[in-house]
Amino acid sequence: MSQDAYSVSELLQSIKINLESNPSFKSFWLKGEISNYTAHRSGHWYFTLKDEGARISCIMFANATLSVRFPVKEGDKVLLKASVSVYPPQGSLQINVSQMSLDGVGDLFLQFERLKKKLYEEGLFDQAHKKSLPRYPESIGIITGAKTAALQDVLKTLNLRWPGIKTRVYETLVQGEGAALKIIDQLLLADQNKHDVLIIARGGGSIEDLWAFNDERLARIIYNLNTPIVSGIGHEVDVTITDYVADLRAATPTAAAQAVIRDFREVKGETAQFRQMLSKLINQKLNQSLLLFSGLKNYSVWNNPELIVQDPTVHLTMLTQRLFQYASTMKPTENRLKSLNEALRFAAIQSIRVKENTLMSLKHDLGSSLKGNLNLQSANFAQSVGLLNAYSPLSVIQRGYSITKIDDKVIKTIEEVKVNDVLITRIKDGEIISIVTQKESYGKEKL
Amino acid sequence: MEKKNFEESMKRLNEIVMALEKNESSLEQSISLFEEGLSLVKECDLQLKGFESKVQELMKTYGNNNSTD
Repeated sequence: MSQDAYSVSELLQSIKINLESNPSFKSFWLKGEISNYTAHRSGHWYFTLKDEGARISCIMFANATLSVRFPVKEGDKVLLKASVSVYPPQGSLQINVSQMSLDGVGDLFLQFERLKKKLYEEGLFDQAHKKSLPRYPESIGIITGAKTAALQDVLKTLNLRWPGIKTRVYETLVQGEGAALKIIDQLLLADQNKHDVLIIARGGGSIEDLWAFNDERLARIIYNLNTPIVSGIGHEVDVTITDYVADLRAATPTAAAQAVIRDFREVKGETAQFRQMLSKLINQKLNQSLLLFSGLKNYSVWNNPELIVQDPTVHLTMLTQRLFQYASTMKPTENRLKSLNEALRFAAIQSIRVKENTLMSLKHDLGSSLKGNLNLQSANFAQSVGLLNAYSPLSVIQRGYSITKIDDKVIKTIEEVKVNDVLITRIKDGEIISIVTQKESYGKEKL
Repeated sequence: MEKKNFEESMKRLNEIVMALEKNESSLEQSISLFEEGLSLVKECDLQLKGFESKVQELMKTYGNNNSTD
């Protein structure tokens, strides 16, 4: 049974995977009251979120806390953007918080998210619809609050980057009741005035302060503008619907001005490059033309133009000269061909030499190995012949023995012989043919 | 030659350099392109040079005041 049991780690891991991969736990809104709030030295916040019946521990990482626009304290009723996270070492469930706002203000976040989703789905933020910005705009329309720091930043940045650039300011309310409609009016006016590009800017503030820039009507007006528009609203962390629908979103008013116009010092480098390139290219062209010209100049007719009228053969000479000239242009090719040819021949000879040498040494090797082989074989042969001789009956006969046969059958005992049999006896230098007249055995019995 | 704005001038300069790089025009055409290019560079440079002194003045006016960023 114990094989079927989870280990604690396995259980927690399984719970973790199940919970954290569940889409409805990945990103959701959660409201409750803050208690046990601790801002850790690392910048992370730890607290418990509770209501009448339950509590859960929450963590908000340092980078997420940067977007919180109010001083958090015990008992605050808040709205959190959250995801569920399981922490196996403690066997604990905790909430990972990415956004926090005071409840009530929290409604604005929800409205913002809903509008963002709706306009996104309608395609108002599509990259394909974004207009490209001119590289060197001459006239810029700025839509922002009168006498605001944002306006000062934009004007200063534009003028330091491209002094004397034409700007026109369209002053508007930037927060509060009616701000969105005023912004729309000014935008439509600026769009009619055919600026090269527009900037819509506002300094930082809370979500309520920036709320005018999350207006749906404003978003649709921006979407339908004919003039490209760059937004610079709030700080880095503030993103409004206006930012999403603008042709380019810059993080701040200053950044918007930087995005709109290049710094003239950069451009100076570019014009210097153009100058260099122009003179390089025209010099190339001149050199090329000079070369062509010097070729033509060498015709003798230029020096003695009367030749042309004097002698019809001059034409021929001219042609010949051109031919020579042509030939001289061929010279390098010819030389190259020659040297290639030479190289080829040399290579061929070398290769043949090498083959010859190999062949010769092979021949030599073959000869000597054949000879060696032959000597060995003949020595073997002599030895074999010697042995053969030693065993041969002929050599026995040489020494005076003889062989007697009847009908080619060698006689080994007296029993094989009868009286009147014809015997052939082989001796050293011939055969004796005889007839048996009598036989005597060495046994006891005598016939 | 009609007066061009900066954007048009830079665009035309790019075209001129590209045409010269292609090396398909005659010497005369090339030279006239070169002349046009140089005068555009000069115009642009003149404008940019004027900026230097203006920026000096502006720096004095703006100083190092505060910013919204």
